[in-house]
Amino acid sequence: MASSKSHIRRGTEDRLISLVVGVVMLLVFVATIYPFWYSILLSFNEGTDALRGGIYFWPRKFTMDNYAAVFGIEYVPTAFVVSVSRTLLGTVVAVAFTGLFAFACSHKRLMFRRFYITAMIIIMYFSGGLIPQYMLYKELKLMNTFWVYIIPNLFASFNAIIMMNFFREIPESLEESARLDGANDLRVFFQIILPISKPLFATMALYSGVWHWNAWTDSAFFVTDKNLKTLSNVMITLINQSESAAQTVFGQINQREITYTAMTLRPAAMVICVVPIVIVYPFLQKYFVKGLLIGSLKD
Amino acid sequence: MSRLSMLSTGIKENTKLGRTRRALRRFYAQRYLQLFAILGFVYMVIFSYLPMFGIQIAFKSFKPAMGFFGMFTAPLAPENGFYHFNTFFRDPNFSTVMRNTLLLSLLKLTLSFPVPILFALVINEMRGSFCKRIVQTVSYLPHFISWVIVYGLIFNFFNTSNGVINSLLQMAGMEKIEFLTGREYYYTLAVVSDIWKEMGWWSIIFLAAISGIDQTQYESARVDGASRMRCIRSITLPNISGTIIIVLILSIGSLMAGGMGGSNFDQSYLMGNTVNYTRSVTLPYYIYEMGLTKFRFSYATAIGLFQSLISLFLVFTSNFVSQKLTGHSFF
Amino acid sequence: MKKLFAALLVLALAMSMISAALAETSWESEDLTWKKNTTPATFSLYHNMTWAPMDVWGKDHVSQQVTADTGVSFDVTIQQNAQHLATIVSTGELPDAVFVYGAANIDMMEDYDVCYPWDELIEKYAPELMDLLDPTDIQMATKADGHFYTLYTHVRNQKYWDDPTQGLSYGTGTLSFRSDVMAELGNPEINSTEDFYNVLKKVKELHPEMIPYLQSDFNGIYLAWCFGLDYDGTQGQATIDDGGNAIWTYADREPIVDYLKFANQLLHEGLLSQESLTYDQEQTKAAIMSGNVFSWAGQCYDVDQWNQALDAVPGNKVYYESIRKPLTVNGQTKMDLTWGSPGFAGFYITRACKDPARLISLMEYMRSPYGDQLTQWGVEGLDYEMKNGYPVQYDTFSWKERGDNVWYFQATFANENMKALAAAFNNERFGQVAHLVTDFKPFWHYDVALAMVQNAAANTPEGDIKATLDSLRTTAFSAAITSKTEEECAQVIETYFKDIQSAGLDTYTKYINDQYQAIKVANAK
Repeated sequence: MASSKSHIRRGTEDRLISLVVGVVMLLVFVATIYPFWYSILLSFNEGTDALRGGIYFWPRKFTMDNYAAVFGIEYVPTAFVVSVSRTLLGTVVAVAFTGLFAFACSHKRLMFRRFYITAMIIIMYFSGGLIPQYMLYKELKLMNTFWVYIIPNLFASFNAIIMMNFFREIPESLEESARLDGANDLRVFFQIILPISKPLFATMALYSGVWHWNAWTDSAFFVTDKNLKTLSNVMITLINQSESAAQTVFGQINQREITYTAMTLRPAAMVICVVPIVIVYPFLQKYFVKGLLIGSLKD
Repeated sequence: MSRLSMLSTGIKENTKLGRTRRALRRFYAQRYLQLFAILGFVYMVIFSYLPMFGIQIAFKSFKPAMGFFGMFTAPLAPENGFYHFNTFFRDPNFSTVMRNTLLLSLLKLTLSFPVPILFALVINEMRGSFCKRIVQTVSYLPHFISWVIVYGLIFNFFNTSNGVINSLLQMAGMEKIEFLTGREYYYTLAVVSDIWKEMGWWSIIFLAAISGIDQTQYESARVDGASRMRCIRSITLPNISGTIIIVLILSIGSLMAGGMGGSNFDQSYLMGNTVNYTRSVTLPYYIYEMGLTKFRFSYATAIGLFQSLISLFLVFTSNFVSQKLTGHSFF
Repeated sequence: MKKLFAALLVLALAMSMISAALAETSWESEDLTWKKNTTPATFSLYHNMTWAPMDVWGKDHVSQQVTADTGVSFDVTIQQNAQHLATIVSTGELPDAVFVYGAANIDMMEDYDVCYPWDELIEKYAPELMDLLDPTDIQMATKADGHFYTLYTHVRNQKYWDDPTQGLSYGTGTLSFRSDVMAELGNPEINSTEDFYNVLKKVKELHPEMIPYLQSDFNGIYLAWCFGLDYDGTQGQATIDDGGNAIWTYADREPIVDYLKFANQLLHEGLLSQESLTYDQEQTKAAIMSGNVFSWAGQCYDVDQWNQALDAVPGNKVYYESIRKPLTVNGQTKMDLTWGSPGFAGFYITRACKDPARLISLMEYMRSPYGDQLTQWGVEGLDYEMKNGYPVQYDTFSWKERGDNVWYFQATFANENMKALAAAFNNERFGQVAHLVTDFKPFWHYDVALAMVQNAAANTPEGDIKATLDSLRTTAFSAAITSKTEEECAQVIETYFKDIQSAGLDTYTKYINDQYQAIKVANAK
C-alpha cells in the first residue's frame, strides 16, 4: 500500500510541519504570555516604584498592597458573588434558549424559516439606543434587580447563527433514523443532537459565560444598588480612574504613605477578573474532543 | 403509522382550503420546532424591536429635557427631518472618519481574519496534549485583557521617554520614533494589536468545528498515504468551510465596528489622540465624541442609523454572494 | 435710680433694635430661614465629582456636621458614565437635587421644565437671602429667560478681582525650568521667546537624553498666551477684537499664526516633545518624575506638588522653578488675558423635589461663610487649624474621612484659594504658587460682560456649529504644530481659517457678539 517513497516523503514532511508548528507555538506563547506576565509583575510591585519604569521580568519591590487595596474596597466580595451567580445562571439559560431557537431554524422544513432568521439578523445591527432600553426595563420592573442581568440576555444572534450552522452540518440521516423510530423533535434534540453537540455547547457556554463575566455596562447603566454591582463594573471603574482618584479612594492624602498608583492597581484589578476564567477553561477544553460522531449512524 | 406517512397520504386538492389544511398539518407536525422559534421571535420583539422606536429621534429635534415622550412628540428636524444626517455629511471630518473606518476595518478583515483559522489548524496538528492545552490557554489570554491595559502595555513599550523599543533604538544610535503620536503608525498599531488580542479567542470556534469532523475520514486518508498537508487541505478545511464562511459574513457585517471584536471604538478612544486624530478617528468613536458626550442624542442616533444601514447592506450582500459562490449562507 | 433704669432700658431697646437691624442682613442672624427648620429630612442627590472618594453621605466629618446643623441628609448617586445625566433626565428619573459641573450637564439642568428657578424659590421661601447675595453672582448665573437656576461655585467676581491681596487661581498656567540645569547654563535670563528658544537649544546640546520642553494639550497653553492668545475659559470662549466686538477666541488670527509657527519650529528642532502633546495629567507627572524633563508648561499648583513628589524620592536633585512674568514676543509683552470664568459647578433643585423650600434654605446655609468654609476646609480643630490666617490641614484623617471638597454646593473661590495657598504660605521651598498667583495678575483683566456671554446650548444650530468649530480647532492646532515643514504648517493654518468660516463661524460670532453688546448696554444702566 504505502510505497517507501511516500514513507520518506511523509517522514520529512512530518518533521517540517512539526518544526513549523513548534516555532509558531513558541512565538505565540511568548507574545501572548509576556504582556500578561508583565501585568502580573506590575500588580505585585509597589506602585510608586513602578512609575520609574524598567521592570521587565520580576517585581522589583514586591508587595501585596495592590491586591489588599482592591479587595479592601467595600463591595468587592458582594460583587464577586453577583458576578458568579449571573455568569452561571445567565449562561445556562441563554445557551438553552438560543440553542433551541437555533435548532429549530436549522431545519429547512421549518415554516417561516427565512422570516425568523431575517428577524434575528436585523436586530444585530439596529438598536433604539439607551433611553428606550431604559424605559423598557423600567416598565418590566427589571431596573436595579438581579434579573436585569439575565432576562435581557437570553438571546444572542451571533451565537444563534453559529449554532444554527453547526446543527446544519450534522448529517440528516441521524435525525431521520431517530424519527423513523417514532421520536418527535423534542426527543430528537435532547437524546440525539445534544450529546453530539458537546463541542458546540462548550464553546457557546464559554463565549456566553465570558461575556457575562465581563459585562459591566448593564451594571453601570441599570443598577444603582451597590450590592448588586458586578465585579467587572467595580474593576472597570477602578481601571478607568485617574491616578489621584485611585490614590485617594484608598489612602491618606500624604503622598509619602501611598505606594499604590493607578499603574499597579489596574493590573491587579485585571488579574482578579481574568483568573477565574483561566481556572474554568481547562475544564471545558475536554469537550473539544475529536470523534464524537463515530458509530452513531443507523444503517 | 408514523406521522410522516400520514402527511404523504394527506389531502391532495389544490384548493385554498386544501393548501391551508396541508399547511396547518405541516405546522402541527413541526410544532415543537415552531414553539422554539416563536419563543425566540417573541423575545426579539420585546427586547429588540420594541426599543427600536427610539430610532425616530434621528429625524427629529430631540432634547433630553423633553423626556421620554418627547421622543414621540418632538418636532421634525429641519431639512425634512434629514438635518442631522446632512450635518454629518457636511462635517469637515466626514471623509476622514469614513476613510479611517473603512480602511482600518478592511485591513483588520484581510489580515486578522485568516490568522485564527491558521492558528486553529496549527494547534490541531500539535502533538502532546499537555503542550497543546497550555499554548491554547495562553493564546486566548489577551482577549481578556481590557483595552485599557493593552494600551498601557503599548504605551510602556513604545513611548519616547522610557519605552523599551525607543531605548533600544537609541542604544543602536538611531533616532527615536514617535509611534504613539505619529499619524503613519496608527494603522499598523491598531491592526497588529487587534490580531494579537483576538487571534486565540476566535480560534476556539474553529477548533470546535474541527473537533466535530468525523475521524474516519482522516483514517482512511492516511491509509491511502496522504500527507498531513494533504489532510489539512482536503479534509479539515472543507469540513469547516461552513463555519469559516459564516464567521466571515458576520465579520463583514460588523465592518464598521472594526471586525468581530468591534475594536474600532476602544482603539480610537485609547490609542487615538489629537496628534494622530486624522488617522485614528473612526465612526463608532465619532458617534461617541460628537454625539453622546455632548448629549446630541438625535445626532448620535442619526449617525448610528447610517452605520446600521451600511452594516445590514454588507451582511445581506455578502450572504448573497456566498450563497452563489459556495452554497453556504444563513438560510 | 429710676433715671438710670430708664437710661438702661432705652439703651437696651436701642441696642436690640440696632442688632435686629443688623441681624436682618447678616449671615449670623437668627432669622435665617434654614435655622427655622432643622428636622431630619433626606433628599436624593446626583453628582459627577467622580474623582472624590466619598460615595455616600454621612460617613465623613463634613457631611455629618451639615446634617447636625441643618437636619438634611442625602441619598447619593454618582455619575456612572458620560450620558448618565441625560438618560435620567429623559426617562424622568431625576433625583431631588443635582450637583454637576461641565457645560453639557449645566446646560441641560438650566431649563424651566427640569428645575426650579432659584429666584422664584428665594422669593417664596427665603426672601432675606436676596439681600445677602452678591449681584454679580446673580448676574453671572442669569439665563436668557431671566431666571437663574443656581449660583455657581467658585465664581471670581468683581469684588474679589478688585482686592489687591487676592490673586489668580492656583491652577493658572505657567512655565517651569529645572534649576540645576539652569545653573549649569549659567542661569541665563529668559525674558523673551527668543531667549526661551536659545536656552532650549543649549539644553538639547548639553543633555540630548532630556526632553527640552514638555507641553501637553490640556495644560500647555501658556506659550500661546505669551503670543497674545486670550484665555478660553469663558462660557462662550469669547474675546474682544480691536473693534470692541466679541469674537471666538480661536478665530483671533494673529496670535494663533505666530504661536503655531513658533511651536512648529520648536518641534522641528526637537525642542518640543511631540508625544507629550498628547499627555494627560498622569503621563505628564510620570515624565517629570522620571527626571528627564527640562522645562514644562502646567499649572502653578503642580509646580509645588511635583517638586514635593520629587523630593520624596531618595537622592533627588531635581527642583523646578517657575517663571514669574510672561515671555515677550519681539520685545513686546503681548499677554493680556481676560478673566471671565463664570464658575465651576452648580447645585440644581429639580422639579422632582417635593420640598424645594428645604433645599433652598440649605443653599442659604451653604452660602454662609461658615457653610462655605466647612464644606471646603473641613471641621475646624478636627481637620485643620488656622495659621497666619490660612487654614492648614492636619494629616490625621484621609480625604475620605474628612469629606471636604465634595459637598461644597456653594463654594466660593476665595476660600478655595486660601486652602490651596495655605501650605504654600507656610513653606517657601514648596510654596511658589503663593507668589505666582499675584505675579501674573497684572497680565489679566476682568470683563464681567464677557463672563456672562452664554455658550450655545446643545441641540441648537449654534450649538452644532460650535461643536464643529471645537473639533476643527483641536485637530488643526495639533496638525500645525506637528507639520513636517514650514510650508505645510502655513497650509494647515490657512485651511483652518477657511474651514471655520465654512462651518458657520459668522453665525456663532453674531450669536456671542449680540449677547455681549446687549449685556454691556444692560450693565451700563
